[in-house]
Amino acid sequence: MRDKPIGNKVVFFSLTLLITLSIIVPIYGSVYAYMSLTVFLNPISPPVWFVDPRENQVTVTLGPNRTSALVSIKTLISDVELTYNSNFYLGPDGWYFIPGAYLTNAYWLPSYQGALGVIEIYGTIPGHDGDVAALLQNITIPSTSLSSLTEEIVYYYPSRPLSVCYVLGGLYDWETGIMVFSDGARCVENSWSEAIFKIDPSVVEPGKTYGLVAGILIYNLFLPQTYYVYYDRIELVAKTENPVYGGNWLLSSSDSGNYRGKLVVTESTFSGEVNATIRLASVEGHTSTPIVIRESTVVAGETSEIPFSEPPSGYNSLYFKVDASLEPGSSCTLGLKFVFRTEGAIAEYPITLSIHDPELHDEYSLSLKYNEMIPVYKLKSISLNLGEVVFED
Amino acid sequence: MSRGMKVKVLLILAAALALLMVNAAVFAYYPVTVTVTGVQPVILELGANAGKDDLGADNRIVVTLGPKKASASITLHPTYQTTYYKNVTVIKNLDSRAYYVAIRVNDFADPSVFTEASLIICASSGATIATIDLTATGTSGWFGPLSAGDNFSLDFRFNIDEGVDLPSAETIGFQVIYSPQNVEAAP
Repeated sequence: MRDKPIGNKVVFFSLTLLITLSIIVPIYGSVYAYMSLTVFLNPISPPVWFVDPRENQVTVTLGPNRTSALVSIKTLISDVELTYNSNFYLGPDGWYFIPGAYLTNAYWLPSYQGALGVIEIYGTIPGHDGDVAALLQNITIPSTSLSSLTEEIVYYYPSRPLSVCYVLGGLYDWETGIMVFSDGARCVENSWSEAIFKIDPSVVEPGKTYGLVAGILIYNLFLPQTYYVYYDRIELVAKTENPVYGGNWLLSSSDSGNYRGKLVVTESTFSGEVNATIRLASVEGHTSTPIVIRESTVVAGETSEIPFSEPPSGYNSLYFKVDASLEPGSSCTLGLKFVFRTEGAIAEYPITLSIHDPELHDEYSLSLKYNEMIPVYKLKSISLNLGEVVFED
Repeated sequence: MSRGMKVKVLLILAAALALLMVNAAVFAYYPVTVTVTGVQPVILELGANAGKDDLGADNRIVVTLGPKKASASITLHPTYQTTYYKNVTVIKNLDSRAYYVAIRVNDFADPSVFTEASLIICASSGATIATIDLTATGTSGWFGPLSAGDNFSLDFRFNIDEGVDLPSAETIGFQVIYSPQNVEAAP
């Protein structure tokens, strides 16, 4: 019987392959080196956590560990309150103290003369001398035309002999360093009283941030006396032509680590026309560049990074601010991530933010503000030159 | 069996025994010397973020290398949601030849706590080369090669869902395997 030629070929190639592999494999196949790494994970409770700002137009649902948030903002056409924590129910968060030469103390108190949550300013003024001190909060004017702008201050001034007192209202332009609006009203003594200042909307620029000032001016014509002034509410209220919201929509607090944070848009859906800017501000005064939404298009998708750390008692570390203006019936939903980092670690918390005109939605239940018996807080001071005290007879 | 056949069988057995006796009695010795020289062509080094601030006040990203840089222990402090650690440790090739690298996970992170625990290996250019799941045991395929003088950096990413009870400690153990070939899987 004759061998088939194909059989010889198979044998030949098999031998060739075997010989080749026997050369190659022993050279490269048998050398392996192993290096061991062990990773010890010590998970920690969130070093940074979200806080509900308890704003009337904002509904916040936090995750069980406060590392996620679902936020719904209801825009309004009339009487939009631009100040955060205007009634001081929970503390002085959001407000800064501008001390005078003698009126150098400011504290938050749980109650005074029947009012819950007040800020007290006091100091001793020498005879025949005067002083001025103020509270300040940075507010952002809505990016839409305003029909009116009103500052309202509810205060209590216990009278002193031979003294003159004025309640001051004002708007401070940080860019130019001047007061674009200032006015004063003679203090009503020994009762809770309201000072109302009408501000011409043309003096402010839409979308710009100003310092809202609520001050006190006192002149003492007698011997040295200690003066006290109490604030129960300070508001800046705007009337707009379109549904708007301006103010805080979320807060965060942190431990004493040093962090840097920013917001990033991960997804967006729009209905109608929405204009908004979203930014971060720290209690230390840092402000990020904004996320910008123009005509329902995300023009700038993330903020810049700003540093933050543990806040003083009664304050939060970061304020998530928005200035939103909607065409009637419009809405948007943004998927965001709050990214914060240390020198070596980066963490991300998810946020869903919806902004809508409530005319087309169900009514929202307002988050109730309540009073807690929390300790007296010293207000955080900032420097701002309010000018010399000029007393006129 | 015929007598002739019996004789043949006996002769074969005798020959076989004789052959065995001959083979058993002869020993030949060729001198072979195996010289074991310790070489360490690939080492571990501290990453750019080793020793830097971790999450939580006073916490640090702790990386401790073995005395010969052939092992490392790393301590990290992730929290809920996503925590990312960049460039914690570096695999450096000191040799003049390229090596392929694989990862073997021996002790894995508890997947009931960590919805994600990943080792991300990046080239010196920053490009991601491989992502290794640290919530299961197993050996990756070869990746690379790690060129002569080049290095790979090791990143970590963890995700812990909200609502989960945080463990006080969790240990992950894995090996970096390197070889000049990428044909055979590592034993």
